[in-house]
Order: sequence, then C-alpha cells, then structure tokens
Amino acid sequence: MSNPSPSVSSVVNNEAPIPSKIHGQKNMPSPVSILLSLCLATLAVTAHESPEHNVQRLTRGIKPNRTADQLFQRAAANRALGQLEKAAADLHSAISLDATRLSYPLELCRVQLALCQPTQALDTANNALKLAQSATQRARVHILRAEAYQLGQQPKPSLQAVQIAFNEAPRGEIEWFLLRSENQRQLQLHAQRIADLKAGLDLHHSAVLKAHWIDALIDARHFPNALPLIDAELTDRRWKSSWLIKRARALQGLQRDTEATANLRAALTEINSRLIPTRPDPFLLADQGTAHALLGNQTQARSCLENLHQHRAPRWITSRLESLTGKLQTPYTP
Amino acid sequence: MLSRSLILALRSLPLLLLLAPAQADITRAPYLQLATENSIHIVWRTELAIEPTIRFGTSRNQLDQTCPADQIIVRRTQKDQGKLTTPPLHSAPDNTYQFEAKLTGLSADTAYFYAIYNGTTRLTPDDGSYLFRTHPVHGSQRDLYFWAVGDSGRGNQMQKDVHQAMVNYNEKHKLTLDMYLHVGDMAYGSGKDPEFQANFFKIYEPTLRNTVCWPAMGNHEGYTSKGKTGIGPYYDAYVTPTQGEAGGVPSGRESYYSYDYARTHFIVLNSHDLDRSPSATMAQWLREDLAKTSLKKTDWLVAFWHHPPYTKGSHDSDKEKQLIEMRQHIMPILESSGVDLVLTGHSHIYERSMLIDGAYDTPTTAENHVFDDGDGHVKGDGAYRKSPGLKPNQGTIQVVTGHGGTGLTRRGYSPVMKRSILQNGSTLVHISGNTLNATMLNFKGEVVDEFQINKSQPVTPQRIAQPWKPGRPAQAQYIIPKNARWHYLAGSFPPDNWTAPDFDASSWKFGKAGFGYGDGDDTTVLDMRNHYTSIYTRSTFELKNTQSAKDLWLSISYDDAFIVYLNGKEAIRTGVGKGRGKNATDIAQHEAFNKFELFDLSPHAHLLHAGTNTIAVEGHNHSLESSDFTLHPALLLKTK
Repeated sequence: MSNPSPSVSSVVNNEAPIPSKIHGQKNMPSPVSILLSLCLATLAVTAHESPEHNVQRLTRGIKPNRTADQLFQRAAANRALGQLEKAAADLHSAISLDATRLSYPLELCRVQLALCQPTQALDTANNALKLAQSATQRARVHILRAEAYQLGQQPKPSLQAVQIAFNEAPRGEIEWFLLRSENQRQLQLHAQRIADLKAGLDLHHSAVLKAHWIDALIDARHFPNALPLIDAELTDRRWKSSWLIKRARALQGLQRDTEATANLRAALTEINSRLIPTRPDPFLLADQGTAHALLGNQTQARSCLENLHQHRAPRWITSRLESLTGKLQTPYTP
Repeated sequence: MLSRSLILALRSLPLLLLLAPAQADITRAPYLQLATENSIHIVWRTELAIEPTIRFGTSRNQLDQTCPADQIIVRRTQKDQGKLTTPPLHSAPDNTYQFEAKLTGLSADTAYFYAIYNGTTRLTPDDGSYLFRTHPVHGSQRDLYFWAVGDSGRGNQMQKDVHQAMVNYNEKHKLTLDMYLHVGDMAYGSGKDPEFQANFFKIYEPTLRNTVCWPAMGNHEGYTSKGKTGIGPYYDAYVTPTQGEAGGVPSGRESYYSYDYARTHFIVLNSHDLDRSPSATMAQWLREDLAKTSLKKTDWLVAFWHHPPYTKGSHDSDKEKQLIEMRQHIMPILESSGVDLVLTGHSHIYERSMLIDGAYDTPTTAENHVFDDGDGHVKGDGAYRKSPGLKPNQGTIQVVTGHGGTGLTRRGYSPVMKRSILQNGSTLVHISGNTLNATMLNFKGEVVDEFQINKSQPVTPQRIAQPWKPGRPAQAQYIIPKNARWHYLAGSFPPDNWTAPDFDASSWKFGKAGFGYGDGDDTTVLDMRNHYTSIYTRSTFELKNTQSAKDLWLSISYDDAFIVYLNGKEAIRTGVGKGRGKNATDIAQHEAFNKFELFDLSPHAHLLHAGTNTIAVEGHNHSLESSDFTLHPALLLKTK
C-alpha cells in the first residue's frame, strides 16, 4: 500500500532556506536565508558533544546569563533527546526574550506538531507568519499551518494553506505534494489530485510521488490508465504485494474479479511471509488488511485495522482500510 | 549539486563568460562524482574564468575524447553569477567558478585517464594519477573494494594519518579502491565552504581525483546544508543520483539515494534533518527501493548514513532521538530485506557488532537478537554465515566508523557490539563473490579488527538466548594475578624472537611484578634511572578452551608505555609510537597513579589456544632521566 505522508515537519534544528523555482529545476537560496543559516551555524556549532552534554553545558550557561539563543540551542538538544515538553518550554522562553527571530516560532511549531497539539501549533504558525519576510519563508510557515490543520482533521483549510505555500514557492517539496494530495483525497478532489501529483512527479521524479499518483488514478476510477503503469512496476520486482493490491483494486474496478482475487491471494502469501507479528511494518499490515477486505474477509480486515490502531499508525495509512471495512457488505468502490 | 537536466538550459550560456585569457588557478582540484556503467561526473573549481575542457581516453598518452561543452555546467555564487542562469553556489570564495562535467557514452568497467584544460592549456599534471573507472554492468560478477570513513573533517594530522595509512596499505597489498564512502561529518565545525575545502578536498585530494566519494550528510554539514531543500555547501560539493541514474529507484532528492555496483546495492540515507518515521517519505522510498532490488542481479546490500543505531561511543543510541529512530524505524525495513552491512559514524569510536537481527528495543538488548556471537574472524571463531543472495532477517553487521580523525570517546559498551576500539582509523571492505571481508585499519596502518560474512551455503539462523556480553568485567578471576612472578630482562635487549612461545627465557631473572623504581608501587626494584629505558617480561598461562580467550582482559599499571604480545604476536601497544625493543620510539608519558587499567584482549582471541599460552610484555620509559617507571601486568578472565 502506498499513501500520502502528511508528516512534513522538518526535524532540523535551524531554519532552512526554501526552494524557489529556477527554470523548474534546482533550488535557489535567498540571501536572507543564507545569512540566517550561517548565523545559526555559528551559534549552534559547539564542541562535538552529545545532546545530553549540550543540555548540561547550556544549562550552566543559562543560569548566570539567560539568552534566547542559548534557550533555542537547549531546545534543539532536548528535542534530540526526545524531551519535547522541555524543548517547547525553552522555545516559549526564547520567544519571550526575542520575538523577532523567525526560527524560534518555526521550531516551536514543529515541536507542537510532534506533541500532537494542532491548535497550539496553528497559533504559533500564525504568529510566525508576521515574521516571515521572503516568499520562501512564508511558504515554510504556510506548510506548517497546513500540517496543523491536517493534524486537526481539517482538510479544507489545510489544502488552502498548502496552496498558498505553492503560490509562494511553486517548486515545493515532495512532502508538500503528498500533503496536498492527502487533503484532496479526503475532499474527493480526484481530478485535481491526479494532476497535481503528476506535476510533482514531473518536477521531482520521486518514486514515492509516482506510487501516490497511481493510487490517485485508482481512487478516481481511471483503471485503464493505471493498469499498464502498475504492470510496468511489477516487472523484475522483489517484493510485489503493494503493487499486486493496486492491481487488484484496478482489476476489480474493471470487473475482472478472478484476476483480482488471484493477485490478492498472491499478495497475502507474500505479506504473511514477511510480516513480523510482534513488530509489524504498518504498510505491510495495512496492505494485509486491504487485501483481506477486498477478498471479503471482514474479520481479518478488521483485525488488521485494530492492529494498526494499536501500533498508532497514522490516520492516512489506516483511512483506506477504515473505509473498506465499513463497506464490506457492498462491492468495493474506490 | 546540480541537476543534470539543466544542461539544456546551459546551452544558451553566453560563451564569453567562459573565455578569458588570464591564467586561472585550480582552487578545488578535480574530483569524481556519480559514476554509472557509462558515465561519470568530474567537478573542479577555478579562481578565474576559463574555457573548460576535459580530454580523456583509455590510454594516458592518448586522451582522444572530449567532453562536449554543453555537458559542462558552470556555477557561481549569487553575488558573482551575473547573467549566468545556473543555480548559484550557496557560498564560495570571491571569483570562484565551479565546473561540473558529465562524461557520457563510456564503456562499463573501463579505466579512463583525463585532464582538465583551459582551452588548449593543460591545467592538471600529466602524472598518471588523474583517472577513473566506470562501474561494471549491474549484476556482473566483479570484486568490489571500498573505503569507509566517518567524522574525519578536522583537517588535522590524525585525519591525514588515517588517510595515509589507507594509501600505504593499498600500495603494500596492491589494492585499488573502487569507491570511497563517507558517512558524514567531513567538514567540521559547521560544513561551511572553506571547511569543506580545507578539511575534506585538500586532505583527500590524491584519492578524490581517481575515486568516487559517495557521501551521507552528517550533523556538522547540517549546520549549513539542508536535506529538504538540497541547498548548502554539502550539496554544492556533491553530485548524487536523484533519478535512479546509478541504479535503485528515484528518490527525487540528493539527501538520500541508492546505487548499484556489480552485485552490490548501496543505500544512503539522511539520518540528520529529514523525518525518520516509518511512514515518512524517506521510509516510503526505502521500501520501494528495496522492493525493486533485483534478486537476479544483487547478492549484497550495504547501507550507510550518519547516526548509528547502536553505539556507546561519544553518543548513546539509547538516549538520542535520531539514533533511536534509525534503529526502531529504519532498521526493521532494511533487515526485512536482508541488509548485510550498515556503516555509520557520529559516535567517535570504532564499534562493530556481532551478527544481529531485530534488536530494536530501547535500551538495546542482545538476548535473542544475536545469530552469531563469535568474532567473525576466519582464523578465530570463523566467518559469519548467511544464505546466498538477499534473504530477509538473516543478520546484519553494524560498523560505527566514526574514528576518521577526531578525538575518541567511549561511554560504555553496546550489548550487540563485538568490538569497541578507541583508535583512529577507517574501514576497508572487500566483496568478492559470496564473501564480504572488512578490516579496521588504524592510523598507523595496523589491522585492528577483521571479520567476514560468508554466503556460500544456505543457513537457518538460530537466535542465541544469552549471547556473549561485551564490556568490562563485572566479575572476574585472575589467570595471572597481581604480584605474580615473571621472567624479566632488564638492562639489555633481548633477541628478536623473545616473544615466541618456544623462546627459552630460563636465563632471565625471575621476579615479582610490578617492576620499577621502587617508589612504593613496585615489588621488583630496578636500577633503570639514567641507565636504560626498557624491560622485557614473559609468563605463561593456561586456557581450558578457546571460548575463554574471548573473555580475557589485561589489567595493568604502567608508566610510561608498553607492548603486549600473545604467543609471539603483537596484541596491544600503548604509548609506544613506532618500533619495538631497542628500536621503539615516540614514547608517550603516562602516570600510573597506583591504578590498574583494563584492556580488552577479546579482539586478539584468535592468537590464543586451549592449553599453554605465552604472554610477553615490554615496558618503556619516556626517558633515561624520567622520575618514575612502573610495569605491573596481570591477566583476568571475565566470568560475568
């Protein structure tokens, strides 16, 4: 199974320059972002220490002389240690000491997204927008807004925010295309989703975008278009299950149920040989559930879904299976 | 670096920009990038404009082919780029021109000599060292020999020594590198352009001109370069595949990618500043790449990135998010597709695991996650065994090779590690047919660790409930106790064979350790001061079986330096720079402080056998006038 990833948040500690379109190709840094990047590099580079040591060292420095940059650095170190609450506290303090630095609210927003706090993340991003000067900076903030909306299960404003980001920085990033696609999927905007993913694929040549584009074709019932693309992907392939399931979905749409069933059984055989019950790969588990659902094995499909929930699989991975398990009494329609 | 598809746009470049009569110096020497079966990239910089030309050919004396001008991209900084339409360099010195040439239409697995010209003026010397070899056809049977380095970019003498040790080793053994892997932190402190120049390109110049370096971004490069955008000095420096040009599926990003060489598939990941979650784009790409790896053409799977899934060196993989996530989220994907070797850095140490699988817990546990707890040495416990081809979950060897030039630290011992060595060096890997041999070469050119993975026969891996445990002994018994009697020679030099088991030391004195000046910490008092600087001691000990050799530790109090030999072979050298015996030089100073230090002898278990073994220790003082000398060795058998 292949699905969009809404997880767009950067995990970087300092703010990156954002791509701008140059003949539709290589990203170009803005002078402001270069300056910001180099400035932060100077601040952030310390002796090569582990994050624990950085926290200790910075804490010693913060006691007599509390500066926003030190707090920002300690937040980064705490984040590296998975101490998100502490990181958020330091970032709030950093912002209160220096409300002019864009990188602080951006980092806070990312931490809040990681903490699953969409409302707070959205507030932070909206505040950050006032500090964003260049188009690339504004685009970055809008993507964070879009992530916050998506996390809050609001696909419409999320889609609007992504679109603003694309207007600011048309080349975008692979994750932006995936986030936009997920919003479009939820809003049933199939034609636009297909066109936008294809545009992303032409721009970035990413195998991930290609898989999502083909999924979008199937979701939009463009089965004859999807089938040859899927068959090409199945040539000399080691692991086939995810593409066999795509193929089965297309074949079912074309009323070629016998072939679809054979593909689904083959996919299940492969998945069963690969899936480790104690630590299941969420994609394999979702594929297993989807295959069972498409074969009408309602109990097994729901078991897979429960398993996915137990392992806290992201909603975009479970959504197709949730949809299928709710419709098992009637023939599957994408 | 620059997307190749920009070439079309560059055809409209104003040629005048490139034509200049002034003498142009090469400021970044030519280096190789992104090789495939039929193409390669050559990158270099000059200070002034030139008419860039590359001539190449299969004979050094006949460079009869030329790279077309429209296949050479010119890049400058934003400040200097003028009418140039190519993407600017993130940062570079004033007046810098960076040239990126793509040579196409080449024959597979073929050596070509090349030269850089400014018009008709040759800029690179005709010394035969500027050459490249294209990749062999994917799936063909061909040996592969590569060098892996991490955390090297200090620009210091140690980094140079590590590099030179590799060069000397290859010359001695008549070996030629097929590629160079850098697992990150190649340009301390923050990956700025001048740091890349001084700490990477300048140091490795003789290697980079004829060996492709495939990079993974480290956290220090991450201060100025961004994995999401592909912008920064790191991305200016390298050309990596984004569209599956060298094999694998397109990643669409320079920050993670894959490539093939003969029957080995390489995967390079960004562990620093991209989302490492199992549903993130990088993990989705990884699944797709592994799913499309051809079993017909691939026998080996090697992955590398910066942050180690297992380490207790200068970093702790049980505490730091990036390391934990690479272990918990990425390793399951790789192991389920049969990854053989994972190379990482970040932690400033050399650590090497047993044959492991499924060790994803935090904190890391080894119980039931180890298939083979031996040393993997063909002359020791034997090679690690896996089934032919790529079989899921048959075991992985993890190598932390973050010891390429910077200071070293150990915080403890990861339970999955077989080796934990605090010596600067690098890792050399040789894949030939169904065997993979890896060597840790230290900065002095000594082989400090070796292991082999052998895939000649089908195997059914068995998990070990209680595998061998690394680390200092919690409980131990003395094999040779403190204050034991040793044969010793003081005041003269022994013959060359004095360390051999069959050497007759019966004419030597016999006395109790420790040996020294008798200033409170020595039992056998010597008249060393102002007379001589070294003594030689020998003893024997019994081992019930070879297994117990893996649990031996040397406990020693010393001032200033010593060398330990086991059955005639050198095992441990501390504080003795070069040579042995009367030829020993560069003796470091070290105070004993009445304390005993522990040294793990398990890496040298292959030198020992069941029955009687010989240990010989030579002790050295820093100088004749030194105020103290102590040599007090003992042997411990770890029981827990």
